[in-house]
Amino acid sequence: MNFLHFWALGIGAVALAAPVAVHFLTKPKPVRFGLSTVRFLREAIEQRKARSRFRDWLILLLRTLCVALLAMALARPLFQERQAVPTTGEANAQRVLVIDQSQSMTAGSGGLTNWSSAVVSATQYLESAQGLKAAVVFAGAKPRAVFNELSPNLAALREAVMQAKPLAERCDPRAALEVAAQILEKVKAEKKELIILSDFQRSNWGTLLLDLIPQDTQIQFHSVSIPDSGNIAVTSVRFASEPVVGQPVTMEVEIANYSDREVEARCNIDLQTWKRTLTAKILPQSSRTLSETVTFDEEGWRSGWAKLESNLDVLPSDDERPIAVRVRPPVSVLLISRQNVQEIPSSSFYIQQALQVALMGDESSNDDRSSTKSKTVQRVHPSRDALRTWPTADVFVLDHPGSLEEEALQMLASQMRRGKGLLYITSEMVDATNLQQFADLLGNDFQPPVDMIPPVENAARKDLFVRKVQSRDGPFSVLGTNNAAPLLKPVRFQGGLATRASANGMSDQILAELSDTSALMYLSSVGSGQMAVLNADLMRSNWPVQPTFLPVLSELTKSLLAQRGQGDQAFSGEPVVRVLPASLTSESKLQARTVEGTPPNDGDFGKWQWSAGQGAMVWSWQEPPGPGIYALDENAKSAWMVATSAPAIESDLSSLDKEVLTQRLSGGREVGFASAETNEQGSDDLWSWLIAACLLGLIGEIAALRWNRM
Amino acid sequence: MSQAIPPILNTSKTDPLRSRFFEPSKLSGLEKMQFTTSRRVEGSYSGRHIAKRRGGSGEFVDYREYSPGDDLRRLDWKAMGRTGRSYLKLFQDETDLRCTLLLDASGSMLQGGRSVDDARGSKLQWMQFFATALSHLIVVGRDAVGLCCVRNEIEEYLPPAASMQHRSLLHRSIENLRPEGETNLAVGLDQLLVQSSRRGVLLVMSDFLVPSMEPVISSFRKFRSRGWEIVVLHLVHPDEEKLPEGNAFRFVGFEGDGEVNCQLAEIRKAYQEQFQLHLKSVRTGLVSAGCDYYRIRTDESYLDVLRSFLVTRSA
Repeated sequence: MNFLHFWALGIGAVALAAPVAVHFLTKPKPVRFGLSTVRFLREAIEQRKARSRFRDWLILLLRTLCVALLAMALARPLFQERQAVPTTGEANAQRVLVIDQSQSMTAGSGGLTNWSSAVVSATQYLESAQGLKAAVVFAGAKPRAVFNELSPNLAALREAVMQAKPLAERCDPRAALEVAAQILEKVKAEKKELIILSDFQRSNWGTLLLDLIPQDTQIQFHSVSIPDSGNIAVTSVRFASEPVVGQPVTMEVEIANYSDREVEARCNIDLQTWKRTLTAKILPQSSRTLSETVTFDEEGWRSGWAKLESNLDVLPSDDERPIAVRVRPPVSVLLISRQNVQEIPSSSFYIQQALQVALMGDESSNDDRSSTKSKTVQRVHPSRDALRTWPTADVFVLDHPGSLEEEALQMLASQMRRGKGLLYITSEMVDATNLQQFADLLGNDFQPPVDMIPPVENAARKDLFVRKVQSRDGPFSVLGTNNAAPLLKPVRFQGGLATRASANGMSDQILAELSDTSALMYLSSVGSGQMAVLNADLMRSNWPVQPTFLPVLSELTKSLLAQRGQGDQAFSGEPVVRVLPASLTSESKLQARTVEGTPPNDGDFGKWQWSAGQGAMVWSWQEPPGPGIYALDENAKSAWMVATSAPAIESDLSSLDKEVLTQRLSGGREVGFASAETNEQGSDDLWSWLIAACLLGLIGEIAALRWNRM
Repeated sequence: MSQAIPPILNTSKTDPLRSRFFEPSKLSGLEKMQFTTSRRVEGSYSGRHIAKRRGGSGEFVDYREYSPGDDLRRLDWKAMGRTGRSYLKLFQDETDLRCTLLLDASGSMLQGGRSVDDARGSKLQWMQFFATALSHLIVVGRDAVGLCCVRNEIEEYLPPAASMQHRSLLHRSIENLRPEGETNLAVGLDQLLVQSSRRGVLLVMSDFLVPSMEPVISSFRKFRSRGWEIVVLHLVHPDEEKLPEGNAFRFVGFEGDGEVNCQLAEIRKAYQEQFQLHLKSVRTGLVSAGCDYYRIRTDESYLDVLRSFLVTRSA
């Protein structure tokens, strides 16, 4: 605690004698008076003696206290936090500064931001002092140290701090502290200091651990957070499904209101040819998703921005969010089957018919249904049609494919890794072999929940029924959570393969089980795509003629497409790895560019090269800047786009309390705490409390006098 | 209400024998009233008070059957002649009253005075006026009045007498009363009982500020057991009851009580409670001893008090 007017304390100390003098010197001069009843007076005095004496001392104490409090109030006390590390440079100290460089540090008002406060405080900590060495680590999505070791060149460090800017990315405190710990571990000096300058956002710093920092290091948290006056942000822009040419798709914009008042948000969406303004009232401390249906006329990449209009909050940088989305052509399905097209009915016939109906329903807006039907489900014979003649598709369906050649398996595996779906109707032992080969090819990318095995001898698979179905989500949810089991009751299965639980798969991938505990259907991720397995011989089952078959198959197809990109969003400052379309084969033809937003430093757009493991071109970018939209062009046409911005958690500006930092997160270590607010002006409202206490003392004195007279 | 304490006239120039406290002009209206008693009294001479003794003269009141040993002079011969039975005629005898004024002459009676030497406004002065006036009325009523001044013991004793000379002597004694020292009322009472040869009425005027009331009550009981009638006038000065206005005082006792410094704001209430307790205990004790108790505030006019006292007595 410090005092603004220290002299007032001196005057107060002298004034303390006043009530004592008043108490002892200003007792009233008694009048001499004869009284015959002195003995009664003596008894009364004796009776009140203890009470009077207590009253006298109480009044003296209260008067003295009032004078002391008044003197302290006039001295204007400034209450400052205990600091483990002095604000200015200290001689022979080895000091590491970790400065939060995340997006939330741009928050501020009236020209004063968290970052500017942090810069001012950091330069104070880097003031020249004899023997002082220091290092500065900027904590963003990745830690960035100015020097990798302590340096006596404080001027250079100050310059680096002043040159630095906050980035549109999150803060990774753990990584920054690791770097700081590495620097401190090399130091042999006795006086090691670690100063963390940050707004201590709850979302970033809530899991802070100081275990990496050497025990002999003095740690100080220096908060530069402004009082949270509310922030409104666009936290997410997404599409309900992958946009398809000519088909309406719902665009969803999530807006969060972190303030304590209800706001009416106006969000402008600008996707080049398509512009809309979405308006909604958002309750305090809540978020709301605004949606709008959009139909794209052309396929290819679209980019744009979602921007809040006239939003004057403390953090303007999260008022806009870039959008990059690919509009794909209509879904196409390739049915791979050895069964004869003319063979009706057959398993593949049922599947083809059902898929055509399902996809036609999906494209109901298309006027020319007959033409779409002809294009959506195509059929190939794996042994007759050469692999290179197989058309590209979004979903591959394998039904009685027989033994697939390795090239076909590799092609299908590669397609799945890139986001395509595969539906495998297993009914023969060769299907189990094919699945095993898929598993071998895909490695860790494919971990089925069950392995297909031959049926047990003398245990014919017939009259099987659905024993267990996952109806809360997945394709069976279309039947209704409570109706799925009753609706599937009349369905009987025959044939197919027995299953056993695999070692690595997750059982919750199984969507339905048969009465012999074998899996009827499961859905598993494969890289960016999905693989669904329907373990049933449809020819020998009555399910294709049941009303439940078509909706379940339709939903299953949608599930296979769900994993596909719905726009390419990435977090700035964090690595981006994208498997590029199969059509891209030449590295040299590709050229990266900034469509809009912050350009990367030194024109670094990362690398794009052929990956044998992926079977495709892969674009990897370690530190994409942001916010912005970046494109990889081939022949002046965008082959891929990525939109980068800070994670939504950066918009929540609520900070950790001092007590949480110094007690809970310190891990039992004694740490100091400082804040920009207390450094500059201290807690300057203590005087009013002292005045109030002084008045209370006076009231107490009057009460004591009255009480004594009772 | 007339003035409580009249100015003291220096009457020595006109009538050196007349007391300063004797105001005959103001008492003329009260002279028709008698200081009387409801009990039978024992007097020396014939008077206006009913005697305890049934004499052979006076007013006939009753007959009584003769019994051997009775005075044959009171036998009603005519009735005996008519009826053949012997009856005695009883007559009510009337006699004078013997009243002794016992005055408290202790230092505490100076309460309310201007100084130790100037008792104007004090309880003493009030008592002197009252006693002078009452003694005058008693003598005017042809009754005997005596005086007994008590401090630690009896300081002065004048046996009851009904003459005007005796009255003047008594007035002089009252006028010259100089209170000092502590009160030992019990000793004075005991001494008076020994000195008094005949029963009568004992009128005590005191503030009863004594260390203990037990001996005093005990002495009163002795008087009562001897057939005395006791009238007590308990004198209370307003300053004793409420304490003076103001805050800081150094109170000095009149009977060697020392000095006490205090601020009245703190203890006034506690003191008043204590004093009321004292008044209550005095009253209870005296009434239980068979005394006729009157509490008198000395800020009231002595003439008013005297008038109401006489009216109450004669009722």
